[in-house]
Amino acid sequence: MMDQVFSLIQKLRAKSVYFLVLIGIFVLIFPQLTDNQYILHISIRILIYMLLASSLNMIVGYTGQYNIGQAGFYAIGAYTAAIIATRAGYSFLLILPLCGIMAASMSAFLGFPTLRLRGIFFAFTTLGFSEVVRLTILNWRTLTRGTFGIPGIPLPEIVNFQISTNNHFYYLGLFLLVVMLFISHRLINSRIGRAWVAIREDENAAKAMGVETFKYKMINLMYGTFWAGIAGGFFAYFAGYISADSFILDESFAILAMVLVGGKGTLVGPIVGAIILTILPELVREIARYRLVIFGIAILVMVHYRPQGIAGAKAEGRRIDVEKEYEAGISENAVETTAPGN
Amino acid sequence: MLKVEDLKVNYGQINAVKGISFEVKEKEIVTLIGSNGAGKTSTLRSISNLIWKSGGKVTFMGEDITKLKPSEIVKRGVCHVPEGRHIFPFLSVEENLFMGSYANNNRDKSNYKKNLEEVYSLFPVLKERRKQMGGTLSGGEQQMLAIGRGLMLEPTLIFFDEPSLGLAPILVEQIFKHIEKIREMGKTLLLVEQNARKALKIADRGYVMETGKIIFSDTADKIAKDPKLAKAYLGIA
Repeated sequence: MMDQVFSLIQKLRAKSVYFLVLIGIFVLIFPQLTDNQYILHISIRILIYMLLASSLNMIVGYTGQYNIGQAGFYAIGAYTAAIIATRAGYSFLLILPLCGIMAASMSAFLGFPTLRLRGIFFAFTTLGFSEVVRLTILNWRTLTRGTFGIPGIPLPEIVNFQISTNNHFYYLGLFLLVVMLFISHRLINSRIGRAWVAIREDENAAKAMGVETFKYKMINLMYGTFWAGIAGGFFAYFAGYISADSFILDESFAILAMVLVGGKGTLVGPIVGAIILTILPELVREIARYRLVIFGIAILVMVHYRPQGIAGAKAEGRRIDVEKEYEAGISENAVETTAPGN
Repeated sequence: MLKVEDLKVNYGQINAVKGISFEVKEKEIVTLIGSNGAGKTSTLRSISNLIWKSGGKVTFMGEDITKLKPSEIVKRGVCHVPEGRHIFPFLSVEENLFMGSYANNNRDKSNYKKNLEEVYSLFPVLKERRKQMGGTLSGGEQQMLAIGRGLMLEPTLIFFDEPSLGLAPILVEQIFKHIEKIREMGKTLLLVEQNARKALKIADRGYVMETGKIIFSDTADKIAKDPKLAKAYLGIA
């Protein structure tokens, strides 16, 4: 069964252009197809998770820094938006980037002492950080109203156009996601992205190649958390009310699970992961409280059957490619390959 | 070209390198030989500033590079081919080579292509496997990739750290042939090796290390005949 699903995905990938166009059209007209507010609501949540998972994927998938406290940065973004919007009433267009900047600068504070740590130690500090953020929110009552949360976040307004319906939010979220993916795609194929991947592959070798590893890890962490902050800001406006309950550790794990199940180190992976792991608990509402159990099983199944994730077919695709090239290469360069010690 | 004075490296309480001085002149192959734990790799890694020096001074082309960041040292044309190859396993051969040119100062498209062709002509097997992932290459090919990656920097000085490590004798032979070819390209080489006989055969001068100290140095062919070498390696008088 699993194999069939994967081979179907593989076939679809082969016709990826048509596939992408079809998906693009579907995604664009999707809100016109249904009036069901529940489905629209879920699709906006999926968009938020896509943004969060993609932002985490930039860190986990491209430099291999295991940040398992992404919810902390998500919370910082959300509270930045909520506090400024309810108290100062600045415009949405000003506040949203501010959410990202706030999250990114917090990550700089965290990264400066901790990015020198590797592997599990970095993971622990991010985990701790996200808890510290949550506890700070709960206890700094004058700023965050503690356990009461912040209600009454005004609807965002973009140049006199009020974003009010689920449809509007859907397109806004979609726009943010597309912008994020576009910038990320450009970054990955730039000098910065090469440095990130080199660090993921072998940090010492990257250093020996002249990559300033600390600097690039810092840029990477700040970039990833920037988008988590944006997602938080968007969430605050969408929900209209936020409290610390939305940013518990479970969220961090859920986001990480999406990245791992979908396939880390690819742009498509986290998107697929976010869709599957948001819809799955919704389908069976009775077991939704066991969300984390589902995620755990999903990760286990993936690790066993497909460690690179659902969409992470890159490595495999390449190997097939190479076999062909290799056969072609043998006939051309047969003499050189079979004559050692020339 | 490269001058190292009184270099010291400590790992906590352990003094791995206890104040050594040596020199590499232009277009030379200098080899640093010694048995396990003599401090050869630590010496190289500390010159590249991949690990902390506890003391000493390093000058390259008249410039003090003792406290420069590793990336700055690489930019000055000092390339380090690390011990155990350390290629990027999930990047293709070509992407690996691209990373080698990362800190190359005069790096543009045509120059990159030219360097790539140069590496491919030196190691035809890499061209054949250019789309293959680095981790799927054999040990010998990986070593060639590591060396090729180093050459993409257009370095003036290359550190080779144990290029023969874990390779079959026939491959070791091949790697050393390539190292000689690289010298003919006008590069200066500092070669760290356990395989003293092979290293001394291609080197101009050599330094013999033992437990963090240089115990003697001479031209390569004189060291090869010296009974003190056997002592450093085998512990016999």
